[in-house]
Amino acid sequence: MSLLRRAGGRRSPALTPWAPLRRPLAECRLALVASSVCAAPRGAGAGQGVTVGDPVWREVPGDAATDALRVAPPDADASAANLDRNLAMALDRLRDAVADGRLGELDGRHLALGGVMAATDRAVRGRSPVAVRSLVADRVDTALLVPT
Amino acid sequence: MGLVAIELERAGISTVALQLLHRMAAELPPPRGLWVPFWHGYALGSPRDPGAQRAVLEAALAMLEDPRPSGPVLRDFDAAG
Repeated sequence: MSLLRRAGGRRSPALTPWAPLRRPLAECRLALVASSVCAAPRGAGAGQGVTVGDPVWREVPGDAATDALRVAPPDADASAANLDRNLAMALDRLRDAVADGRLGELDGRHLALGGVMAATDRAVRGRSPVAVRSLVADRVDTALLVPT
Repeated sequence: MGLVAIELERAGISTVALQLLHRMAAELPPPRGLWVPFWHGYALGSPRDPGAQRAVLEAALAMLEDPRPSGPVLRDFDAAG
């Protein structure tokens, strides 16, 4: 079954939720949400593999050294992202934007999700609420979503 | 990722999602989607090219500042600048 059918088909634009920024970007807190499974050395489940459809998600500490992350998407070639983790977890570029005053600050944690393409139902019912609760609790203003 | 973006927007968090599959982005658009003409695994463009990666990030951030009152909005990233 295609992802589109699993998700209930085309969605009317009128049904698409829309949250405008509540303050200038230079005052916003941003969290990164990546579809790759990035394991940080001290993160829960670090080093564990995942299978396609596994509704795993991991937190990446906000101060994680980008080079220390391991990118392991279950359904894509991770060699490029492991050559430069910023291709999947753009933390260094986001830190540059904060240093330049373009962004206010980064959240204290970022999220790495896995297996979305093969587990849409579980992603929606399982991981999305977890991601929402985490970022709402952190008073995040905005999120950048990066696929792998 | 678009489905996660939708849930975040419902909770009041503004999102912008990079998109690698143009057809999927068009048929199931996130509230704000930036299609990037790169292969899977290269969502920010070229490895070890901070300038090019920052250009992708800046295009995504600019979408967050779009003052329009509703979405979805899907834009194509222009790698040529």
